[in-house]
Amino acid sequence: MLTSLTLQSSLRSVLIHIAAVLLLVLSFDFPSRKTPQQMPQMNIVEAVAVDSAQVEKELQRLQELDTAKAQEELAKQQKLEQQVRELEKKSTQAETKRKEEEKRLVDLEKKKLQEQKARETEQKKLADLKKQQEELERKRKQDEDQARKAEAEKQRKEEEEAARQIQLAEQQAEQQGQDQALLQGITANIYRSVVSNYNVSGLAPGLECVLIVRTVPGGEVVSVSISQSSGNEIFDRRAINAVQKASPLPLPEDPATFERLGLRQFRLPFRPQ
Amino acid sequence: MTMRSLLILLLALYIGPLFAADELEIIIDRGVENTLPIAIVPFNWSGAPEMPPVEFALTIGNDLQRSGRFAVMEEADLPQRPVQFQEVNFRDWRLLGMENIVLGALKALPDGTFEVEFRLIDVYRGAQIAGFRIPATAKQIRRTAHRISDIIFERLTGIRGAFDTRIAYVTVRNNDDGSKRYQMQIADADGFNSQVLMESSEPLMSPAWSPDGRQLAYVSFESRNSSIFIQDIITGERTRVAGFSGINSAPAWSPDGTRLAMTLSREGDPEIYIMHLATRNLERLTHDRGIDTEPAWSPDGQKIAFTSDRGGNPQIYEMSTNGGRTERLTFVGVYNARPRYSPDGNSMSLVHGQDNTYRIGILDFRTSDITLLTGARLDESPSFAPNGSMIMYATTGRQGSELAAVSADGSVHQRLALQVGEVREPAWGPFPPEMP
Amino acid sequence: MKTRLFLIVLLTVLLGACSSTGGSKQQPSASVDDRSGAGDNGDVNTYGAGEGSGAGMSELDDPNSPLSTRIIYFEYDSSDIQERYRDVVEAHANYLVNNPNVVVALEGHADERGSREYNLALGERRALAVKRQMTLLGAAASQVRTVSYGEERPVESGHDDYSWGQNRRVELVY
Repeated sequence: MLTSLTLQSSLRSVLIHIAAVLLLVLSFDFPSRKTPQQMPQMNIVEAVAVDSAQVEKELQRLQELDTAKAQEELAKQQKLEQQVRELEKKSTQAETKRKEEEKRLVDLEKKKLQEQKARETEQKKLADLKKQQEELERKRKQDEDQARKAEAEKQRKEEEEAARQIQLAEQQAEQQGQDQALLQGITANIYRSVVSNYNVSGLAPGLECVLIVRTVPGGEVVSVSISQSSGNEIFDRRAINAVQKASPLPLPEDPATFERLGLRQFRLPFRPQ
Repeated sequence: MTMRSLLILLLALYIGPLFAADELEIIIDRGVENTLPIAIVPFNWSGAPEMPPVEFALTIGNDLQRSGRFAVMEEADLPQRPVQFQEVNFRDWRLLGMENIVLGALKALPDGTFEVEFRLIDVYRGAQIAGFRIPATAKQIRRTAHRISDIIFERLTGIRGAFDTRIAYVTVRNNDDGSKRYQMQIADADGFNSQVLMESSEPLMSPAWSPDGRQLAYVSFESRNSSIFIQDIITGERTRVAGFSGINSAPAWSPDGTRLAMTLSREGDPEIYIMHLATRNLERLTHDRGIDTEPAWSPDGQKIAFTSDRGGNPQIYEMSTNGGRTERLTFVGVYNARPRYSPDGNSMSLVHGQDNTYRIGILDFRTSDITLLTGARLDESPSFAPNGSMIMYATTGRQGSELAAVSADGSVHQRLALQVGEVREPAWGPFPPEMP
Repeated sequence: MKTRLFLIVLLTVLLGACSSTGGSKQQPSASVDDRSGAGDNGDVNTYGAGEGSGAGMSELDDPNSPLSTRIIYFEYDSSDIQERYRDVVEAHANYLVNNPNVVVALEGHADERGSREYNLALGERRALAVKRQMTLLGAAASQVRTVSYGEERPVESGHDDYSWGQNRRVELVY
């Protein structure tokens, strides 16, 4: 704080000196100078008015100022020196620090190197491991491929077998399909024939009986027996009469077809809604 | 497993059962509503040179035909006329689709009585369903024919036959001097064997059978006003049970026979009363300013249906016999009257009037629908057969009122051939006592 | 029968039996023949042939007098007395008022349509409607007896509107 004050005062004295000199120079050199028109007259008047006492006073003031300035300079110098000392001190400290830092950096570098080395080792290890794994994988794949091939072979054989079976089944199914269609038609015809002869007029609701019907090729009903009675004589009798009246039933004449379709005997549950 | 092998399996599963151990099964879940074909071979007559007193085959055939449930083969179409079971050529009958045949014989015995035997035969089984030998006096011989009809009817339909029952009705004859002759008659259900129970120059009305069939209640105007009488059918003994001022009419027996519901207007307007016959005590059932009449007991004896115009026009109402709420039963049309419960209590016959026609209708309690059974203009007085299979009623024909019968499903109509003159108000009697 | 009763009334009136003593109880022969067994003939109620009174002589004689109208007709299922019969009912009521010993029988009838028992009730309702009117006009209730025959005694035997119209009636029988 003190230093700054000193500096300020010395700077001010210098400026004042300069101003004073300028003022003097201007005061005397005025007419030779081209002056702008606007130059106020007052300065001239004042210049004219300056007397020697005033100058003396001014000089004295300036001298005083110089003394102050010198003191200020000294203080400044001292301060600078102080600053330098401090800076030097700081510099020393910084140097120490720098050296420490350098050492640290070196250490770091060293450590880095070590780490790098360790990493490299690790990587190498990993690479080895990977290699090992790959090798294993490869081996496994090889095994798998072999197994797959075996499986495929087996499957191929199975499929061949299956194809044979399908062919067989298809042949069978074709026969069966035809038979099934035939049987469906026969079943529908038997149903129609029996229903149209089944008189449900006045029958008690909720009853059911099951008849076993035996037939011969051509549909002649050989026998009708009660497999399960409704318990109601009239109900059972109406069912039997329905089958009897429907005879001959619409069944194939061909004995082979008749037998294959299993039409020799069938069940007729009577459960009118 | 591949799709294909799965397919094979499914295929195998699908086709398998059809050809496996299980035999073919066809479920018969419906049939047709048909009359039952029956042939009645004329009964063999033996024992006397004169003609048999009753044409058995004809009488039985008419009974069965009238019921609406049978199709009786014309005599001319019979392929043979066997008398004995052994003589039956089943093949011939089967070819004609004939399911049942009746064989029989009537024999006059030296003592003047008869012996009737008959067999009901199942043609397709080649077996006898029923066979009886029935002794009969000359007087009973016609009823015997009806009894046979009853047996056949029951064995083939499962419903008790009601041919051996009687009906009561009113006849009106115009005398030469312009006056009228009213008769209360009873006859066999087919209209034969009529007997006059009571005769009057004043109107007779509303015959009602006691549940045991021994008595008949009716309304007579012989005292220049309506009175209710109960008459013993066998002895003819009769008693006036209600002869109050005003109307005394519409007698109806309780199912237990101890009470007689009736309409009396002795307190101003026609109301329903119950008379306890043992004490003649009267119990008033309705309390309404309008007309309340034509009481009918429900088969369980718990309710009484009646006609009332309390709602502005005649409709049928029902109330408990021990009081309680009165419920209106009919809502269709502006004229529903004369209720009679069916024997099973599931429906009710009535007279339904619409656009100047009055027809017999059936009110089904389960649906509340009224089905009209008849189609003439002036049909009245429906009366259920005790088995509920038929309804007898009076219809206005060319000769005035005559009796007709309709099967309860409305499918078969038949007019009863009775003597000339008006015949009205049929009342179908109860089942006779079981045969000993 | 009715003609006979009418003649008796007419005769009685013509004879001018003033304040007659004791009506000639006329027994309508309701012959009851019970064939099937015993049976009483019922205690047959009879309606008197009317106790003559000379007062009504001229009125009955006059065919234009409302008193000569002895039948009141009704609409279907109705017991309302139609306007055109008001005078008739009033004349008869006045006659009864003037002849307190005279008794009239009102016979209610219905046409054949519908049920017989309901028609019996309807016939009674018609007879009672006429009786009510007469008693309102001053006749004593004891002077008016009612009976219903329902549809049992038609005057026309046809099955048409004309016959039905003729049969829906109340007959006044003195």
